[in-house]
Formats: sequence, C-alpha cells, structure tokens
Amino acid sequence: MTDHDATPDLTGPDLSESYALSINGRDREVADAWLGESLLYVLRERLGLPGSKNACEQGECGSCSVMMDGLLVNSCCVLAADAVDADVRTVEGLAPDGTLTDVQQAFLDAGAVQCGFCIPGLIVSVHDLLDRAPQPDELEVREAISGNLCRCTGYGRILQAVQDVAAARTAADAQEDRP
Amino acid sequence: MSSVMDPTKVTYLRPTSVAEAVDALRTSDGARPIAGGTDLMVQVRLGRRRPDTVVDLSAVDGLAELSEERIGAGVTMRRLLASEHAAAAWPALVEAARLLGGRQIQAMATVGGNLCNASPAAESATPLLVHDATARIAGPDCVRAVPLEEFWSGPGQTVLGPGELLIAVTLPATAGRSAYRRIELRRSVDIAVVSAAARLEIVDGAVAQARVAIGAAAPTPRRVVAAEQVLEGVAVGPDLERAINQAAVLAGDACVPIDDTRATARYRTAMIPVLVSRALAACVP
Ligand SMILES: Cc1cc2nc3c(=O)[nH]c(=O)nc-3n(C[C@H](O)[C@H](O)[C@H](O)COP(=O)(O)OP(=O)(O)OC[C@H]3O[C@@H](n4cnc5c(N)ncnc54)[C@H](O)[C@@H]3O)c2cc1C
Ligand code: FES
Ligand code: FES
Repeated sequence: MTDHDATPDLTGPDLSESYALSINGRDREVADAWLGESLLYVLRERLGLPGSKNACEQGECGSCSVMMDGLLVNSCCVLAADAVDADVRTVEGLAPDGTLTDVQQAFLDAGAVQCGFCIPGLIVSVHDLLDRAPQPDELEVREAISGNLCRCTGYGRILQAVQDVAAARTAADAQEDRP
Repeated sequence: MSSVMDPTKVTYLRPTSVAEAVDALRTSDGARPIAGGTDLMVQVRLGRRRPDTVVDLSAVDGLAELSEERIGAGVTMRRLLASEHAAAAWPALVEAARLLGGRQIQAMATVGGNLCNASPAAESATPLLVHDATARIAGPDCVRAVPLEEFWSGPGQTVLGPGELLIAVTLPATAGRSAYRRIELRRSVDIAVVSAAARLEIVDGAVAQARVAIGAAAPTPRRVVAAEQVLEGVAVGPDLERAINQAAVLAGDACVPIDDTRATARYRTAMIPVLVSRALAACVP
C-alpha cells in the first residue's frame, strides 16, 4: 500500500489536505502538502521563506536553523508534522521588513559576512544564545555556534560580533537602570 | 531542492499510543519509526534507508517520560541536559548528551533513536551500559525486557522484531560516580572515534562494584566484564591505580574495531586503554 491515507484511523484527517503552521507569529496555510516533508522544504518551497538556507540537508551545517517552541533546531531534520501546533520562528521574523536586529548589524559592522550562506543560521543561533546567556564567555559562544558551519570566515569576526552585541546590550541596560 | 521523502511512495502515520504505534508498524514490512529524525532523515536523504511507511513517534503518549529510574525512548538529549536528577544520578550519560551534536541536534535527538540506530559509536550506549540499563520493548504480542548489553546484534542492528518498539530504558538506583570520555575529530558535528564509560561504587574505601563499557571499538557497544573484575574489591589508593591500569589493558584486549574514515583499527585499539583509564580515574572520589 502506498496510498498515504490508507489507514485513516491512525492518521486522523487526510494528510494530503491543507494544514496550518504558526510561523513568526502568523498562521500560514500549507495547501495540498504532505506532513512527511521536512520543515525546511515547507518553509522554502511552499511558504516562500528562503531565509533558512539549505546547504547540507543532513543536520551538519546549521544553515537551516530555526526556533521551534523556543528550541533551536535544524529545520532540515524536522518533519513538517512536528511543527504543526508549534511556534516556529525563522530568520525572517527577527526584525520588521527592511530593518536589522542588533546582531545582524553587528555582523555587518564586524565584517563577519563573506559569502553569507551560513549567516541566517548563525544569526538565529546567536539570538538564541544571547536570549539565554546575555554575557557569554568565549567558550559559551563557541559551544552555541558549534552546530553552525562557516566555510569562509574562520569564525574570528563572528565571535567578535557576538561580543560586540553582548557589550552593547549590557551598556544599554546599564543606561536604562540609571536613575 | 527536493523533499527528503516522496509522498507518493511513503506513507506517514502519526499514532498517539504505544498500541497504535505497534499496529502502525505492522501495516508494512517497510515501516520504520521516526523519533527526532536526526538519523533517519539523513539516511533517507542519502538513500541508505527507503522506508515505505514512517511511523512518527513524537505524539505517542508517555514516550517522553523521564523519571528517577526510567528514561522514555522519546527523551531528548536537551531534556537530559536540563534534568538535575540525570546530572546527579547518571553523570556519564549527561556528559555524553553534551557531546552529541550541536544544540540543534540535541534538541531533537532522542535516547531511543540513538540506541535503535545501533551505531557502535552511539553516544548514550556506553553510559547506559555502565548504569545497568534494561531496554523495555513493546510489540504485537507482549511487552518484554532485555538487558541493554543484549540489545544490539551488530552494527545498525538490534534485537527488535517486526512491529516492536523501544519504549524506554529503566535503570536501577546505582551508587557511585560514572564518567564518559571520547575522542573525536571535530567536537560537535562528529561521532566518536572511540569512547568509554565507567562507573565505580566505592564502599568503605574499596570498590564494591565496577562497570566498564567501550564504544566504536567493536561491532556493538559492549561491557568489558574482565576489566570490571580486576577492579572490584580493590582498596582506593595505589592498589586501585594499578588495577585501573590493568583494567585499561583488558579493555584494549576486548577491542575488535574496524578501519574507517575516522581512524584505523590500530589507533582505536591503542586509544581505548587511554580512555578507559581516564574514565575510571574520573570515578574515584
Ligand atoms: C550533525 C549530527 C551530529 C551527530 N552527532 C552524534 C554524536 O556525536 N553521537 C551520536 O551518538 N550520534 C550523533 N548523531 C546521530 C543522531 O543524532 C543520534 O543517534 C540521535 O540520538 C538519534 O535520535 P533521533 O530521535 O533523531 O532518531 P531517529 O532518526 O528518529 O531514529 C533513528 C533510528 O532509530 C529508530 N527508532 C527511533 N526511535 C525508536 C523506537 N522508540 N523504537 C524503535 N526504533 C526506533 C528509527 O527507525 C531509526 O532507524 C548526529 C547526527 C547529526 C545529524
Ligand atoms: S541544511 Fe540543515 S543542517 Fe545543513
Ligand atoms: S560566510 Fe560563507 S559560509 Fe560563512
């Protein structure tokens, strides 16, 4: 049997129907799709969100990193079915259109971007890190981005950019706290 | 970019109970469970596995339960890393979870997937062996328990029969410290070249119980009982240091590794004693 709704009692609704995903706070309909597709495929090919990159499709490089219910995951290894009912945040959702987050700006300022292919994934990972650990030491930063491969930069300027953001955020917080 | 799996060829099922999952697995000989997908999605993409039915375990009730003596098959590495109980009771396992993949992989990778994928290098295998884990298996006819050391039958092979599912591993309350050590080529995106886990329970200044297990050194992860025996009964101090050296050599003797892209068999055999003595030394208070 290859018909994918052959056992409806196990699968519930017909899986070739439409389903909804919550992406960047908005409900997005995925029409005529199949729940066995990877989340990365759905984001890029069905929803027109090409920010998450497909570099290896093997979980190795992190360029497809997204947040799913607050956890950093490689969307190429996640089934679309597992993202139904989850809160998915992609690189597109980090800043309003046409603007940059402080992390994105710091990457540009530090010259941390060369070919750029790894950058969206790294930006998502770095936001995740700084939300968890506002003042990470170098080891923490290295651990946090260890699932993100960059073939161009050698990581030096990426590490610098992360420290720049951490410092700028701390300075801004101190400013706010002043009476 | 193509989708990893082809909907015209692969049936997707999402059971919500263990009984339904077992039924779902029996709908086809080519059915395969999927948990975190970090092994299976890659294997399908590389054409190494071609399931005609994938049975998604992520909605199965109770599979992700974590308690004091039970780790559900669906428990992820990140859950282990966040658990205070796991850190206190099974330090070797938590250390292994920390070494498995980067953060992205740890969020999805499950203990069940790691054990069922049955890599000789599976990170969680040797730590669970030194904690005397038992595999709990549900199948069409019954639920059965298999000591973890009998769970694997070869590289990529388990004793799971058709329609059988790993539900959990259970662990007796074990005393003493455990530790895990490995050698890898690249820290977060590579599996172990070789690995070792150990546990020592020390009572009144002497070793009451010892466990030693080695990974990526034989067709399956395995315990080295001969090494355990030379440690048991030995008093902490110079005698134990000598016994650890002996145990390390015996662990080296138990290696039947292969040459592959990561290392030669000779290198693996030479490194196992080093890792075993490091892991054992870390268990001595
Ligand atoms: C970049 C990267 C790095 C990695 N690094 C490591 C590493 O350092 N160490 C390491 O050990 N592994 C590593 N892995 C491999 C993988 O992440 C782990 O083995 C993981 O624990 C698999 O769990 P999963 O839930 O993703 O399994 P899945 O891919 O969902 O399943 C794996 C296999 O087990 C079967 N299965 C799953 N659950 C059950 C069950 N309950 N009952 C019966 N069968 C079941 C599936 O059918 C499949 O054959 C890495 C993978 C990637 C992509
Ligand atoms: S494309 Fe997903 S990890 Fe490389
Ligand atoms: S900038 Fe090219 S891969 Fe990172």
